[in-house]
This record gives sequence, structure tokens and C-alpha cells, in this order.
Amino acid sequence: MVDVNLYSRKKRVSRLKYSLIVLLIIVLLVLGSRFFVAQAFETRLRQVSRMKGYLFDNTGTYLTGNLKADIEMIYDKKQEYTVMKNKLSKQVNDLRAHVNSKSVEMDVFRTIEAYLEDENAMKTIASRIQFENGVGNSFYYLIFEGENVSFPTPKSTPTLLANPSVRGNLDFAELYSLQLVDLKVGGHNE
Amino acid sequence: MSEKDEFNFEEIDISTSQESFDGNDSYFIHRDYANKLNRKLSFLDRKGMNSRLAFWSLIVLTIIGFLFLVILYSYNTFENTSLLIDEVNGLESAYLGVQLLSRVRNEAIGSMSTRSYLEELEEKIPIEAKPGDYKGITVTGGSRDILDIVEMIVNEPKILVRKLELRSNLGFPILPESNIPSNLSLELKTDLTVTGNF
Repeated sequence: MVDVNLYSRKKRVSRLKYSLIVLLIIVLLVLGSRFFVAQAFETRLRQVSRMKGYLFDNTGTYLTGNLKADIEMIYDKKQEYTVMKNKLSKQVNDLRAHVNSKSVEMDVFRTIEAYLEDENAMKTIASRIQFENGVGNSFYYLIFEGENVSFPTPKSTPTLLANPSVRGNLDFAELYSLQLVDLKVGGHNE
Repeated sequence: MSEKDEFNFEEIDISTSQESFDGNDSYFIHRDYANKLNRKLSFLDRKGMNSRLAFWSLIVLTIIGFLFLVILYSYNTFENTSLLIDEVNGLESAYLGVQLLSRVRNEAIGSMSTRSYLEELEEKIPIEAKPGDYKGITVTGGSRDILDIVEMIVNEPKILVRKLELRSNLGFPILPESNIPSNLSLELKTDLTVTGNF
């Protein structure tokens, strides 16, 4: 009888042709996947480019699609703007400090002026006005008619707390009263 | 065509193998298989490789292909895209900051510059428009003139008063009937700073 081995241990052989066809399919699958992935990222980049269009227009930048080159270009531009921002920030801080000092100074002088224009007094004569380190000091006389002496009050509400100190009242010829005031303005925040 | 016709029957001489077989034996080959055997085979049909080796090779190739060409590529592109978006957001933040600060600075400087009359003040007290500290400024004059100068100094946005002292030459007491004497004079001593901020 012919010995036919239906369950041969002989190694199965795959034809090269079919192997190459399968290989080709695999390569196509891989390249196709990569293409779709690349398209997805490109779409995302286009979205970013559209969303930040105003930014690119105003800063003179644009996305080329070469990610590394784009990152480098945007980074350089960001550094440029950061330096500009820091410089401006310093300028604005200096300006703010200047404006704060100036407004304290103006408030002090306006408060002194408000006290000097005491509406109850006939006349006000300032003998000395001093200002240093945001604190103002004024030594002045108020002249009242008769004996109607009142405590110094500003005509308008001052923005700074003031501390008027009456040093003395003096009747003068029974017609006038003279009041000496030492006024201190500011320096309450220290 | 009957099933019989599809096979080629050939006589086999098996005279030497009487032990195992009695009578005539024959073998048969299906016609399709015969055609297949007679078919002209190309190089790629004749050559082959071990099926198992081929299977695993293709699997490994698929994995490596996907790993390098798809997964690694996706990872790198994702990383770079994220970094790019971060950089773009950083640039936007810096740009908006610059715009805001520029506006604040320009408005402040514009507002203060229009109120400045430093040139006029230069004619009245010994200072210059050049930024810097000006110490020991002393001015003596009529009360109205000196008070005007003090008002100008205080209202001048480019000037900061470091120190100011204003004294009158009046004695005490002052007679109201006499009004303000015509020889009343004030002395102004001041240290000023002209800012270079704008």
C-alpha cells in the first residue's frame, strides 16, 4: 500500500508571492495610518492658526507646518514680547510709584490749603509751611471777629487725615481774636 | 461529466508487492490537481519560506512599522504640537500684556504731559527739564509770586517735592487793621526731583 502521510511533520511553506502580498498590505496599512494621523495633526494646526490669526497678524509670525521651526520662531517672538512686557511693567510701576507720591504730595498741600481757607475766620496768615517725606506741617494764624473763635475746620473735606492743634487764642483789642494753629497733615499710613 | 471522468486512472504494476495487496491497484490524480501541477510556476511561486517564520516575521514587521511610523510619530507630533500651542498661548499672553501695559503707560504719560508746564517753571526757579535731583533751591519774593510758584511746583506732574519749606517774614502779632503789609515777603526753600519716567 502507498504510504500517504496525511499529517506530515514536514514544515509548512508559505509561498513568497503571498508573503509579499501580505507584506505590501501591511506596509499600506502602516503608511495609511500614518497619513491619517498626520492629517489629524495638520487639521489641529490649521485650527490653531485660524483661532490665533489675529495674534500672528499682529506679531508678524505665521505657522509653516514645520513644528520644530515654528516652536523656535514662536519661542523667540515670545521672548521678545516678554522682554518688552518686563520693560513696560517696570515703566508702569515707576509711573505708579511716581503718581502715588505725587498724589500724596498734592493731597497734603490741598488739605493745608483747605484749612488755610477757613470760612469762619476773617483772615488767615500762614507763617510757615513745611513738607517732607509725605508729611506736611503748617503754622498759621486765624483772625476771628470778636470773641467768636472756632476750632479750625477745612472748607472742603480733605482726602488726608489732618491733625490741627490750636496753640492758643488771644483777644486783641476786644475786636478781634487771634488763633495760632499748628497743623500736621499726612503721615498716618506710616 | 461523471465523477469518474474527472480522474485519470493508470495501471500500477505492483507485482513485487503481493504481500500487502491482492489484485490490481491504481492511483488517481484529480484533473484540477493535474492542471495545477502542469501549470507554469513563476519564481515567486516556486520559492517559499517557512510559514511560521513568515507569520511571525510579518507580525513583528507590523508591530515595528506601527511603533515607529505611527505611534512614535504620533507621540512626537503630539508633544511638539502641545509645545507649540503652549508657546502660542505664552506669546498671546505676553502680547496682550504688552498691549495693556502700553495703553496704561501711554494714557498716563499723555494725561500728565498735557498738564505739564515745566518749561514755564524753569523760568521761575533754577531747575531744568533734564531728569534729576535739584537740591537747595531758594527763592524769595512777594507772597503772591511765591505762592504761585508753590502751586505750580505742587501741580507739576513731572516734579516730586522731596522737601519744601515756606516761611514768611511776618512777626507776631499781626494787626488786622493794618491789612497785609506791602513789604511782606516769603522765602521758599525746596529740594525737587524731576522725573525721567515720561
